[in-house]
Amino acid sequence: MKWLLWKDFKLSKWWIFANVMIISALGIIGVYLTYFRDFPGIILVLLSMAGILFWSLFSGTAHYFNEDQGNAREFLNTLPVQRWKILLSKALILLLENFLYWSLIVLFFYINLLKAQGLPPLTPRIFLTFYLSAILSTYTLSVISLSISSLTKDMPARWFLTILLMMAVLIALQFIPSPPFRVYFPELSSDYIKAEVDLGYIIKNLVSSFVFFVISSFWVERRGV
Amino acid sequence: MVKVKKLFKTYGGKPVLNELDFEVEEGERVYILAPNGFGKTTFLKVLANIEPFQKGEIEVFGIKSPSHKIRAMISYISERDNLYPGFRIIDILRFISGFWEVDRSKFENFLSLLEINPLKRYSEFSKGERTLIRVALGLSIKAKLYLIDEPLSSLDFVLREKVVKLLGEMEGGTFILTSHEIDEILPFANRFVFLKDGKFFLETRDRDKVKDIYREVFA
Repeated sequence: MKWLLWKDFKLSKWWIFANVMIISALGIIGVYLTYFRDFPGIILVLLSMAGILFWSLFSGTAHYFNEDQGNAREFLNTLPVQRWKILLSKALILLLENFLYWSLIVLFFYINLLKAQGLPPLTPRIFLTFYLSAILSTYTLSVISLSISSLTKDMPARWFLTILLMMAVLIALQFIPSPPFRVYFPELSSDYIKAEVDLGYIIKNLVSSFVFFVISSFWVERRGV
Repeated sequence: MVKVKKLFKTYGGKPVLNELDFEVEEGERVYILAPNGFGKTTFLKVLANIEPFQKGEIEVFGIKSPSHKIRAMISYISERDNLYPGFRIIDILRFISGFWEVDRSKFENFLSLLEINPLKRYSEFSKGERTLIRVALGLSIKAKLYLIDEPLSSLDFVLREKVVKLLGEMEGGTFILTSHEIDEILPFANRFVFLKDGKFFLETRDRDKVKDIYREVFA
């Protein structure tokens, strides 16, 4: 497992580096605009949030990019390990990525908000909930993308299947009750808005993506990655 | 040691391996002969647990296929360029050593024999040199069974001589290999099997008869 992680980190370090640089650049420019140009630089942080959300749809595919290019998927199949470990290693690197990206985004978001006037107090509880739900939401997409990418080398098929599966999962999950983990923020609520985050729904999504991860693990064990 | 019974595999509905039976004893060096598209590579991949099969039984050193434990005993050298292009040779060696026991001194010996710098990236080498590297790495793994697919394909005669030299350096071990370069592989192997219609239908241990049989069967 250690060597699979080593390999996956080595292969994906440039993706990670590029994303960190983009988030940091947008964040720093945003802070500069907010503090020195009296412009709402937080827009740039929101842009990087949207970017990471979009990226997570294809992050699993990106993790197979090098192995697809050099036929190394065949080499992966010769390794004397259970093949679900090959997937797990990639899933762990994706988790690391999500933590890293969202930590940066939340940091720049917070610095920008400090300058904003007339906002309610931003408690650690609000930030932690936001941080956790963001990581879990994009990680759900990453895991689905990874699972699909392990099944086929065909790029259009991957993207089509990823989007199709996500829609199917979202629809199917409407019929399954969420665990009761609603976090309510009275300090952000008003007569018109009830501010709360349904963490139960987010966790339900994540669990469903892991169900698919397990199914694809069984598949690659038999058919190869 | 290796027992294959009634192995059946199809590609797109067409049987490639059809009720194939095969046995290999320890120390044998089996050379599979057949023209392109007759299922040699598929057979090696199925044996190496890389590809699934539909029916039949495969037992390698007492372990039934498919199992990752079988892959631990096999060194599979692919005809395809299947290593990580961005990795340096020492990185690939380090990665492989995490999964198999590797004879490092043998590998270093091979590299000096082939005049290959292990600090260079895999992608920096020519196609032929990359084949040499794959063969050298595969043969440095302390495996019980070596499956080698077309080690001489698309190599010029100088590089072919180097690969044959590497194979000649191997003492002991059980080998199953495929190649179209009969002249080079004949001295290395000690058992010759002919694959046709998804089965091994004929075999010999007489080197002198191999070419005649090949001509007769596949001409």
